[in-house]
Amino acid sequence: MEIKARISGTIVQITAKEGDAVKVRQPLGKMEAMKMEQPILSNVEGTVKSVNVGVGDKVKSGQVLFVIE
Amino acid sequence: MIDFTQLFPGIGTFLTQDPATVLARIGLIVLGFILAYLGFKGTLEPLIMVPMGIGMMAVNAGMLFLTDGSTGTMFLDALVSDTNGLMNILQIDFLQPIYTFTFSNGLIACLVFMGIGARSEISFMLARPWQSIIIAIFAELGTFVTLILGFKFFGLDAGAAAAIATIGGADGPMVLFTSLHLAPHLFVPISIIAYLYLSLTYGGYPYLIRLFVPHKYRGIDMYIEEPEVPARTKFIFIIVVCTLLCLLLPVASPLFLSFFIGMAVKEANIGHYVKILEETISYISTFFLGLLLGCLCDANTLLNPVVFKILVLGITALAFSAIGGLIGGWVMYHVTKKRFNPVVGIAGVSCVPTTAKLAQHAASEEDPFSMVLGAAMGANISGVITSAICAGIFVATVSLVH
Amino acid sequence: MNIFTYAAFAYALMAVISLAVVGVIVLLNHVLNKQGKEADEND
Repeated sequence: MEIKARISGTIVQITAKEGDAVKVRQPLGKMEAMKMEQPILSNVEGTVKSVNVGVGDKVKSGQVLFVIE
Repeated sequence: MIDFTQLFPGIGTFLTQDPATVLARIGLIVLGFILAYLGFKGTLEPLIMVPMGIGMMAVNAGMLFLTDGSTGTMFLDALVSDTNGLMNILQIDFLQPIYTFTFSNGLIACLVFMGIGARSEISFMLARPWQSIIIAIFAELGTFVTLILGFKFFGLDAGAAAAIATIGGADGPMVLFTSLHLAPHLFVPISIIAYLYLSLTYGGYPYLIRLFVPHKYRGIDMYIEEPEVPARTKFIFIIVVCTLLCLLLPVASPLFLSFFIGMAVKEANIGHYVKILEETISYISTFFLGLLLGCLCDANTLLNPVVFKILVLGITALAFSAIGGLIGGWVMYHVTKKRFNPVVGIAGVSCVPTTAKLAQHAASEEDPFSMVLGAAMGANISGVITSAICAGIFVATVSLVH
Repeated sequence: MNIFTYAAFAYALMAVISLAVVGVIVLLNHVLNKQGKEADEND
């Protein structure tokens, strides 16, 4: 399952690492858009397969941020 | 014996002015303090409130006896209009040049508007253009309700009613502009109250959202894939729409030009210009705007019974605009068969980006997964366009009313 | 014009102009996108 950015913005925090077990709605990190912080949540249960972005990266809406399986 | 009233004129003037003026001066000094302090804390928008509050305090404290025996300040005189008198005062009052050359001709409003344009991302509107503009149209409800109330029930002339009504468009520069054209004798109190209220919207609006949108509807997700619109396309329609609106409503063309030039410069990626407009000019204009507004708040100018009417009408305009926007949100909810979050309606009240963020907050509170910021920004920007069109229409046609 | 008529007239005019502006934007978007695609195909 690809976790995509829901709006264009900047990544401010990443709390999930590869291999972490995550539940539905668990925060994986935070991003900032229009000077507002938004949590990045997982919409499935599983294990983090890859973290595709770093703190400070500017991302576009629809860009893949994490992959969970 | 030393005449103490002459020694410290700020205090001395208290003794020669009538009680109403004295009370007003003290009241305004206190108000200035409160505004500046709330700006400091961040409760109110600091960019405007800190200079405005401090200016308010200084101008009401720093009164002195002028050569002709009346009392006044060394800051500025909004009422001087004859050329000789004006040239004179331009060389004496330190803020007069800024006032005469940027404020009373609307330049400062246009400069602020350029900054707003440079920060507005038109893609949000392009994602769902029709939904955005319809929400914005609903959110102008307050403007028209207030127009009617002001004229019919508050006894204002059509121009003044229209100028005050534009507060419902939630765009500072628009209010300044309309007041200058339609109610120049009132534009000081109207502008001050407009900016004050616009700082306060994020206080009251969340409650309106809760009142009009029950819990379970607030969390509806509105994730929109931002369309990949090439900058070339965006640039072309920014400049075409600008020209079109200038053709239709030339009286508001300074406003349209300012807004769209800001956007155009951003799309053309002229980094240097974007930087000046978004930062330098924006912040200088906002600073002086706040400062001038504060310094215009001297007791003499504000001791006008109309001020009370403006206070009431202003809040009415903003309240009804929010309600109108939320109604628009509901309409879209039904039209899209439950796939629209009604909360986004409030973003039609174009306090960019405050109201869009308010909509997002309301949605996130209910469901942290919910993303409405994109749709809300689309409505926000459409709101700026509808407010500008409204201002243009009023200035061009309000004389039809009798 | 009485104030109610004027308010209705102005509101309607504002709505029409706003919708027209969006119409122009959407139309331009179509036209420019098609042009863009044709240019891509010709490359």
